[in-house]
Amino acid sequence: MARVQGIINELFETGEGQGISVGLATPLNFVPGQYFRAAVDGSDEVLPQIFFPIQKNSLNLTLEPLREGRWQPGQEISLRGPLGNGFQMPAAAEHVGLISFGSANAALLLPLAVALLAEGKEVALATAAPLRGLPPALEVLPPEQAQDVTIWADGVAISAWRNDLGQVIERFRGNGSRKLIQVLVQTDMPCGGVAACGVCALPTKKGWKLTCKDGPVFVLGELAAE
Amino acid sequence: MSEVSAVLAELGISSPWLNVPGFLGYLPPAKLELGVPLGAFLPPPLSVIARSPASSRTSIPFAGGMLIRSGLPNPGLAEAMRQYGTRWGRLEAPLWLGLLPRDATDAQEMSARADELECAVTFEMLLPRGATVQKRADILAAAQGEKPFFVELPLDEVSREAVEVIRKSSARGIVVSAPRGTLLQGDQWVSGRLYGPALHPQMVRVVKDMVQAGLTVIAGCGVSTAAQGEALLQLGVSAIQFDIAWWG
Repeated sequence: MARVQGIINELFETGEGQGISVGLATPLNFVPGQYFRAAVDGSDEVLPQIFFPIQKNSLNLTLEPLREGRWQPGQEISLRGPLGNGFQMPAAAEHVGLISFGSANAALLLPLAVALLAEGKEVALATAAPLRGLPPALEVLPPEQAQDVTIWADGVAISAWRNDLGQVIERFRGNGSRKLIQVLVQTDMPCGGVAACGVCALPTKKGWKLTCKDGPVFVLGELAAE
Repeated sequence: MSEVSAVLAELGISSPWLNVPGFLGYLPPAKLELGVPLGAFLPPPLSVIARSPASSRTSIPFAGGMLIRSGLPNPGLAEAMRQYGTRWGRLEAPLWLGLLPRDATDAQEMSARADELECAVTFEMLLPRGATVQKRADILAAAQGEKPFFVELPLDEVSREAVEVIRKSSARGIVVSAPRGTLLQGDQWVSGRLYGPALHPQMVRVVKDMVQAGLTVIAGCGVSTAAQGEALLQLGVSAIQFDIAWWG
């Protein structure tokens, strides 16, 4: 786990809130789905915020979501990570479907889309969210076509809020398909993996797991309804 | 600076800096953020029977703090000892358990188990919320075993009556811990424990009064920096338990 300093270059509006663009002192590597903890100098926030990387370009990194706070361009930012476990799509999957479920942040799936497209895979994203910086080769579909995407795809990645997991399990796991479906779970992670505070706990077939340490990406077939 | 109080020295603890139970997980991270040596390690509070996370678990930031509702999930004392006992025994810092009894029977059983765990030098009892004076007294009487123990008293439950019950028991001291609060999240009122620097002034007032009354006191909430901790140690507080400051 690295600790990297940077400068906030820009705050930008997204369809689902705000994000930040950061100029880094040194490059950061991550697996799509992993997250970072970030704090700005002089902030009165009591804990670092959790961010997911959205786009990476050499020493520039965009991150979402920015919670309310007094963050401004020009501030020094300290990033710690990458943390948690990211997506692991099977190499044999030529068609990969991405789905942002409900009000989940679709942008969190973009680093995976970029990585898969670079490998020559075909990628389709079902979402209602307006996104910026989409790769031209990414096929974007309305959310009503999410089920079609899962039929077409060899592997599926879903972004979902923890409170929606029951619906995700019911909708995408019940078709008897053996294809790999992974879920990036969005939820509060106040301790960021430092403790086992339990706020981000998820029920799985093997007992309770922590989103901050065992996730935030889980295999859908291993999750249990709460 | 940071001299160890007599009560900690008796327990073989060489530094007054501790963690609130659970705020460093079941095993301490390799690198600690606050730059202070950990005097003892406190794993998450343990109950006799495993506890699941609260169904409405969440965290809500507020100005100067954070409300956390977790349900204090844990695998139960016996299972935790099975899973982590050997590794706890290898830690540099001694073990200080946090125990969650429902009643006197639990307290007696947990105290006996703590006695079995060689690396545990002491434990602190987290009394059930809303317990009567008699029930508190019964739990503390049942907690008496071979090992010395402390009693956690949330900031919002500090009263002459509550302190008197502890004073009359064989407890070594009081840990003034995080109070509970309620905040609106969306359209739901959520209750949980409150952490963060906003609690500092109230906590200082309480522990100052306790020290002046001759009690052994540990500051277990509202301390965010080593400098704040040093000032409290100068005031006569026996040890400092950091909570979310470890997560910074």
